[in-house]
Amino acid sequence: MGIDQVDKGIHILVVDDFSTMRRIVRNLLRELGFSNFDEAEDGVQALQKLHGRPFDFVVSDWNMPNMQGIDLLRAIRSDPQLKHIPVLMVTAEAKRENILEAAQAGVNGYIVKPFTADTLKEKLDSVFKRLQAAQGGQ
Amino acid sequence: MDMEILQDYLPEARELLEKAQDDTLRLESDPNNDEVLASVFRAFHTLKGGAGFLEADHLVSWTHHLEDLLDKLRSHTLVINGSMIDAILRGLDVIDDMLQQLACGENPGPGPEELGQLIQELAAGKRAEGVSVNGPIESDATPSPPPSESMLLVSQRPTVAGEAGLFLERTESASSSETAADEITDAEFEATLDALYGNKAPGVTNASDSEHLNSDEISPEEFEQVLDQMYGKQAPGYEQPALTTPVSAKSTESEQAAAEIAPPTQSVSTTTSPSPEVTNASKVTPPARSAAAAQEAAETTLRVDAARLDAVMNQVGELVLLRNRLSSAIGSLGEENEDMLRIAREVDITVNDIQSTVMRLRMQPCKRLFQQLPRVVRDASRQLGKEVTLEIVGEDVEIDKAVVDALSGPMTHLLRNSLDHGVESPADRQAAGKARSAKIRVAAIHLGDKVRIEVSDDGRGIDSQFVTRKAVDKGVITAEQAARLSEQEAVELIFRPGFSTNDQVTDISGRGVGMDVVKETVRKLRGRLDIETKPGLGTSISMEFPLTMAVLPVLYLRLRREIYALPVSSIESLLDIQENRIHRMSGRSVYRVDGTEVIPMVDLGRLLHDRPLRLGSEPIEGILTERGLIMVSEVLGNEDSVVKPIDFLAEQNWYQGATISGKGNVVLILDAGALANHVIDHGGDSTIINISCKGAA
Repeated sequence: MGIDQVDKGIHILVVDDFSTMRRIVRNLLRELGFSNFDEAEDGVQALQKLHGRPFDFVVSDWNMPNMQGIDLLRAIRSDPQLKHIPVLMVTAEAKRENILEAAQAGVNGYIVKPFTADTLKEKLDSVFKRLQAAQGGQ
Repeated sequence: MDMEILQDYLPEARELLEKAQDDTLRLESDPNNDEVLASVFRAFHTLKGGAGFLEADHLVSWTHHLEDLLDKLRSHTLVINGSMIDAILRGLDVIDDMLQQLACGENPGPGPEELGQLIQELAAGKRAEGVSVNGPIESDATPSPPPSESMLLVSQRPTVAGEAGLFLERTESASSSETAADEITDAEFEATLDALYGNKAPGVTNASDSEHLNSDEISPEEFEQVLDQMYGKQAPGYEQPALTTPVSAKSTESEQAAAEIAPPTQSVSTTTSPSPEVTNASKVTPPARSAAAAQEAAETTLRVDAARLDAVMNQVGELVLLRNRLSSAIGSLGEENEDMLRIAREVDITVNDIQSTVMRLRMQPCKRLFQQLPRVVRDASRQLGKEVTLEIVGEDVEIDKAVVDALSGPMTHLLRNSLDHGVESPADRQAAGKARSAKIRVAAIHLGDKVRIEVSDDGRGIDSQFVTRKAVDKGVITAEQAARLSEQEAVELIFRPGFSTNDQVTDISGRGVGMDVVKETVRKLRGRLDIETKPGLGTSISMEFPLTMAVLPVLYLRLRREIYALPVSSIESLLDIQENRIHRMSGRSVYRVDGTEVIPMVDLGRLLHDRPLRLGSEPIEGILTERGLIMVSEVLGNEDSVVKPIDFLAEQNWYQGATISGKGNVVLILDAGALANHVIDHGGDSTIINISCKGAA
């Protein structure tokens, strides 16, 4: 169960306005064995990319210009074409109010900066476990 | 520390820092601009995020406090004031220093404690406007209430209508220990997800869609269920309107969206074909178009390591030299070969094209150079109690990156210098019948193959007598030399090393960069520095730089049997020397160019061979440069050359580098300015012996 059963070829969209951060996230995901990435600078661009081709996972920063991570999440969840895509939010701090807001909006998991590959793995693990449980529970 | 990430982080962080500074300055005139506030906030936020991955803990905490302050400003919990802007700007300087340390491979140390404290106190709303750092802090007695802490709890409960619903509870907590109350634990988050979705995952609403997880098919029923579960049938007891409002707003939007979805029969894959959902989604994101344009711009820009660019530059330089040799070799072929000539011509054109393309790669807008200046003017004018408006012209003019990089310190110095020495106090200005507020103008002007950068003020101008006196006092020149100086030469003394009109080095213009450094930088960039001053009216300093540093057009000349080169940019014209125009003036040989212009003569024979050229007994031609008439044996011709630095010469010498001529010989490139200066300093009669003493000193 968990991340070990996830196809490492899944397409992941990394959304952050700071290219260094996109690179960090990509590097860490690569450490975990993932290899298919695309990037977007903000929520607006992310939505364009998400509509351009299918993605299996979104890792998004919270605080971005144009369209915030939480609004991207809401847009994804309210879009029938996209709403199944799991979203992991990257945040600067684990503020209860924010995380609950994200949970309300349909986030699958959150991770607090800075993080290591191990933490990222744990987070992905719980996201996928929940997804697998949902699939298995039918 | 991850070096690879650091390499990405530093340039991006510096860009953010520059933008944050611009934005902060904008806040001064436009304090309620939410967009700008959000942008500054984001800058600190992003800097902090990256710093965390680099384990630069002090940078993280420093940016955190600034972020905290901006967060309060952005949410209008606090209102921005002058002292906050000061603190933010100083905070930015600290970040800049920390980035510098990171660049040197060090983990930054803590920021200055006092400023850190101040920023935290500002963020806590503890310091009122106008209260100085050391003054009494009245507002301390009545601290503004800290933002109320609260807890949110979500649970699944039946609604009044008996339907399943989500219950969101906000409990005010008296606790001010922010971290404990505000942060969520992993277990808590999982519990929240459980409460929200049972054992299901967000976005997956019931068993039937498990098959669809990896497909893009969706049924309207399924979509309705998601909406129901997540937003519909709201639970009672929402005590926090701030949260309910956006949620319910979303829900209506989503319901509308649902209503617009095509009839239930549409269950085919929608991944490839354009579908109504796409238009639906674009309705949710109104700024899509502008962002698309921005994206286009972003993706056509490529970040390239400057070292690679320099390598290309050098290789093009080699190519230019080879081209010169090829032309020369073909020229010396006995017979004319049409084919060869045509090939040589085409090589010539292609090399020129490559050269200009590569040159353009290195061009950057002057905006980067000017960006820091509003801040410089703001800080210095506040510190000196002067009123100044800064006008910047020509931010879009592009110039070689080397110039932009090297000129940043000198530009700052020129402005500080102008503020410190040129601009009068408001009272003095009024007394002189001028506007209280002075004007400083910074302009970049494109002039053919050159770019001119000017810094001018409408201050008091430079008093040449005062400058001369100072220079003698400081031992920069002797009284005897002073007597020989023209007005203009006297004013130019400010560019001499060791000259500073202020007895104590002020904080404003004494940051290690002096006017001599400005001049030296301009010289190294093969530029030309001019100063024009009008007593009582102001001073203008202009610097002219070649558009490119890659190729240097030179004039080859012969001194007896040796070949030298002189940059074409420093040459005004070529002259036949006429004996009746040579005069002796206070021990110097000067040449009367025309009715009015008299300039010093630079005898290359005397300087380089210790044997003056003898008019009448050997051929002599004159090269008129801006600063003097250089006498040589013969002028040969010009060529585009590439400068190779020479590093084994004494610091002070007459060469600015070497090149390889078309014939494949190494040729020294003379520095016209240094030659003329030397003659002005030492007169025409100095012997080679005391020249070399000076050179070694």
